[in-house]
Amino acid sequence: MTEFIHNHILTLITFLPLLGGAVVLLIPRDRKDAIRRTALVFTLIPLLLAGMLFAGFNTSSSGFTTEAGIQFVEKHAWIRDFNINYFVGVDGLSIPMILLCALICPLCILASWNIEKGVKGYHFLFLLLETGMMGVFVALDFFLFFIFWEVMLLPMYFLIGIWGGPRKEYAAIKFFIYTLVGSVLMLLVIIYAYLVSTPHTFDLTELARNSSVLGYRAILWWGLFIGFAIKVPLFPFHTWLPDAHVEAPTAISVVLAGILLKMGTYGILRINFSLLPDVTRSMATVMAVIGTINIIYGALCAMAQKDLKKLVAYSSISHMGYVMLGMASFTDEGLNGAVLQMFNHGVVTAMLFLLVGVVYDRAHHREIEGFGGLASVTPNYAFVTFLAFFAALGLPGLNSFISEALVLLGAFKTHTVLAVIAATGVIITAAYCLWTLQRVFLGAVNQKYALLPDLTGREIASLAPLAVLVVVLGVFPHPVLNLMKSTLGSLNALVVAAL
Amino acid sequence: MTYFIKSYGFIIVLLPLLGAVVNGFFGKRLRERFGGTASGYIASAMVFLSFLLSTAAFIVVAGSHGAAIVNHAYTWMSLGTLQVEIAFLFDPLSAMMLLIITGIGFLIHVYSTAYMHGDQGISRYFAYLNLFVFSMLILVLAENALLMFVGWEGVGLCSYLLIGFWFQEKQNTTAANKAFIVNRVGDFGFIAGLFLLYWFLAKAAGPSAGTSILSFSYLAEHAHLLKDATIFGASLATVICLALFLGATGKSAQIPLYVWLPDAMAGPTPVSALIHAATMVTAGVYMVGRLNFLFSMSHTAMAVIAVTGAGTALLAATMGCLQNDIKKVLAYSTVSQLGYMFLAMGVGAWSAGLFHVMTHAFFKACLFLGAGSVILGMHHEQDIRKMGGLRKHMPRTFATFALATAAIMGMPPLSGFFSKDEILWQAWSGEHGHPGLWFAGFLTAGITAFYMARLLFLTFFGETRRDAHHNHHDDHGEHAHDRVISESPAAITVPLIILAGFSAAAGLVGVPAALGGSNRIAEFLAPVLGHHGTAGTHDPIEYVLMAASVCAALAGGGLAYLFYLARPDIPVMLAERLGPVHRLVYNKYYIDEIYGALFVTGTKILSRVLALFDRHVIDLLVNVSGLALRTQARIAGWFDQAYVDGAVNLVADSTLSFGEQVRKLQTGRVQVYVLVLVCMVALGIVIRLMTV
Repeated sequence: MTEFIHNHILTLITFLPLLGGAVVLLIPRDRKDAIRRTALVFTLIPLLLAGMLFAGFNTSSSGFTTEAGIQFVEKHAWIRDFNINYFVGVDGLSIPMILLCALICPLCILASWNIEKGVKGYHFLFLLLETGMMGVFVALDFFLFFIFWEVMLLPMYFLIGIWGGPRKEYAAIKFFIYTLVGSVLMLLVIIYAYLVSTPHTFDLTELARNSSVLGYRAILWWGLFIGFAIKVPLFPFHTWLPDAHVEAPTAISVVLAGILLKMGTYGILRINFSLLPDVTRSMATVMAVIGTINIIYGALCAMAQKDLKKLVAYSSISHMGYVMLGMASFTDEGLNGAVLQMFNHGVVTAMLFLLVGVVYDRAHHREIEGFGGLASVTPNYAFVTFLAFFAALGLPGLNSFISEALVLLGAFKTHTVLAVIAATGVIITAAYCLWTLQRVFLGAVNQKYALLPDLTGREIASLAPLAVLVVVLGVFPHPVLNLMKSTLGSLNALVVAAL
Repeated sequence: MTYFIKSYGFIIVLLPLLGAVVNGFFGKRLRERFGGTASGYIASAMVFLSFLLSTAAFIVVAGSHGAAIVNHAYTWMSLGTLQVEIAFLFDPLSAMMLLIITGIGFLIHVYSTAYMHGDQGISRYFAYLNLFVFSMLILVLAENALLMFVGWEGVGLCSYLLIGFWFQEKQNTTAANKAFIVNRVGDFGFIAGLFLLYWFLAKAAGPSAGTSILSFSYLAEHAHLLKDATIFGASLATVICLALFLGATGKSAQIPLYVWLPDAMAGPTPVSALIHAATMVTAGVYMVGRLNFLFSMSHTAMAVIAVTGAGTALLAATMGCLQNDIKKVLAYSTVSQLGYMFLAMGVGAWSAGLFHVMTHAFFKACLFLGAGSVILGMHHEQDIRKMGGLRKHMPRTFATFALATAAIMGMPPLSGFFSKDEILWQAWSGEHGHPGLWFAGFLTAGITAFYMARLLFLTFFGETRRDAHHNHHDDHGEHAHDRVISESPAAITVPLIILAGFSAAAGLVGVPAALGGSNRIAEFLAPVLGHHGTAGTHDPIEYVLMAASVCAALAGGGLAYLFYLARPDIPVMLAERLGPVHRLVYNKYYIDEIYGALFVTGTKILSRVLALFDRHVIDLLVNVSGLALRTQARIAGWFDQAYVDGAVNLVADSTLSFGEQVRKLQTGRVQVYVLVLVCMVALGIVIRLMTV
């Protein structure tokens, strides 16, 4: 049994949610709690398995450009005629993302407990979505990667389009089409890469090792980059994000910001960096400039928002800018900082969206100006929100500080001026975070909400793990840093050596 | 004992954190179980234990002849050339700060148990206060600059939380935001300076992996590499030092970032005493002192620091003269005194600056706590125009307040006299000194004496103005005995007495050679700060300067006596005579308003504009491309219907009509079929024959 689990752990993590989805479909639609519990169980098992993965992961693994660098590999022929394989494995780049995904999904199920409309469909789609997301992070076959990438898109479309807010159709279609444009660009590159490789292969490790066969490199790079940039989202491809977030139900916003955005930067690291290291290296300044724009522009836009959820959405854009800036520095500090920031931002933004959901459930609106004095009414809620916002503004001692500091340390080495500009972001971020906290929580109690109930047990259960991580990883970041260190070191070396 | 500090020094830091956790998470249960006083006792006990251990650490450090003791807890980050330890550094400088923080911190905790008695949020208050002590200890004990930054931001957080402690008043929370955000501007400088330093040393020093580049010992060893380095054509050392100093101007309320401190008085008074007078605001001075080897690399940076310090000292002193809120006067006084400290740092008189940090901590904490006692006695009245004659009602508060006032005025032989004169002497004679700097300091000394004496006279002397004023329109108010002004309880007066004692005597550790002392504090701090500027020990000018500053203080005090006790009509007349100038100073030169318009409103407008740009321009592009696509789709649809579908239909139609025609053959008559068959066979044969 343990042998079996160990040999197929990635497959189990990826497909157990799908199995859960099938089980959900078998439950009668009016037994809502049974559906919810089933979904919870089928997201908790992957979390458990991810914990085993974490425990069994060899942190000295050097990453996927060498055969030995990948762990927990499963490789089976899938479509033999086209040399398409079911090829999954993890390295230091993907394992933090898998952990993040495995952690956030059960919390999202908890946060979806009060969804009453179409419970069955919702949970089925959610579980399908988790399979898609996990698949993207474990796939090492380009074709398989693409399949999972598309699998993830579809449930997302329906989850926003059916369970969303007033403008859900607009938001869902915008999201869908935008992402699809990216997918098409990626597909073209995939087909091209397949055709020029001899023997024809979709194997990402293989392609990375023989990346010199690829021609039209700059075009390929941009094709992939734009596809992924849409997902991150990088300026100016970001406007789908605020719309999608505002309309999406809480849990879907959490997934969207917590995990989906990371796929963009994950894709750039996994594919642009390894297949086209020379182009990547030459695009350093472009990436750094875009990252800096994201940081400052996103923060300033966030400051002007009146809708709490939109504010958090723009803050995501700002924080993902750090990831980009760190990646563009081509230093150990910057690259590790970037991936750590992906993880940390996932944790913090998940918290923020959950917290927005909490107040929205109670007050049925999200106007920042419409609250006031909530700290007196709901002290526990205020405490957790303060924690999350202070993590977001990069308070030392909390997790985001470490990743942002690493990113800036790296960026100072290679893009000094941009790093200085980006560092001014800490001022703007502090300003909008504190201003928001003040308007929502401080001041005289708004009598309209004088009897607002504080956090429920279920809400605490969904927030507490994240809150603990925010503090623990701020004080002791090693567990996550160690996972990625050697893989990112070799990836960075690959890119640095390419030029 | 050395072993204990080396292995378990972190306990000093952790004890207040423990207190904060207990009060923060279990405060409510504590109150229910043991009553409202429990929170204060726990918090005070934690700081007291920390103080005892600090004393032990101090003794160890004093006994180790300047050798630093480092307590390694664990490695915080380790990546490539970056290695950051969680480690605590015990050396003379940090040991001195340790005693100030835990010692005064403890007294203020005790004071708070009385001052905050009965407040709804008392556990929250003590949790914050303990958290502050924790952060401040991290700041001063940090073995490397990044860990120092953790403390640096931590104290900023606690300051924010405590300024906005009574958060139901919007005004308080705005002051809290202002404090944090203005400090963030400084933090940006701190971070930029630090990372530039890291960037340079990682390149220039060629550290092996696992070297803790940002540790102070490594920095001290390698700072000389900065000597000829440049960045964008400027000296790198200057750029780094100025960036770091920007950080100091934020935390220590100097020009241009001092504006948050006066507003910070919105917090409870003990907080003002601990955070905004005695400890946190001196963090910038401490940082400059800690990195003195770096700052002495850049003459330009030193000059900027000295001038900024002198300018702030003078500017804030003038502002203090016309304030009417007892805490605001003290706040501007703090800004001004901090300017003194930076003046000292800027002329390279490191130990003089830190000596003033210590004496100022005592007398300013005493003054603030005294003010708190007055505010309590006056039932939360803070306007000194409504006070007066309090010395009869609050004798202990008065005595301690007067002593501390004399100390800050620089009356010999009280503590302020020694530290201030050391600074003034160094400003004149020191390596980077200049008579102009001395003169600014000298002038400030006079003005300081004036506004402090004014405060003392208006508050404690003359008649009680508030009572008269009060009776006038209080005929349906509370009973008279509710409003009796009485001395505060022992928990308040005992800390006052202790602090007053130190305000008086603490200067004795720094008696200069010119007065027959040996400046023991400079001696003690020398392992960290180096020996400096005591060359002209028997320069007669030193005595002249001393006499001059004492005269300035006496003159200032005398003027205040004349204005506010003897002839109260003079200031009124002067205010009228000097209308515009008076208004300018009274409104603090409108600097807050200018900043507000320039930065706050500016940023808000910029953010609105960008948000609109995002919504209407960038999204417009998206929607336009969407529209273009839809239009194209519509054209394609039309084409599809007209031509493609047309073609399809054409095929179908022609097939149909063909069928219509062919159908006519299906007549059902056998004869016709046979005929056709025969014809076909015949045709086949003919074709076959022709092709052979």
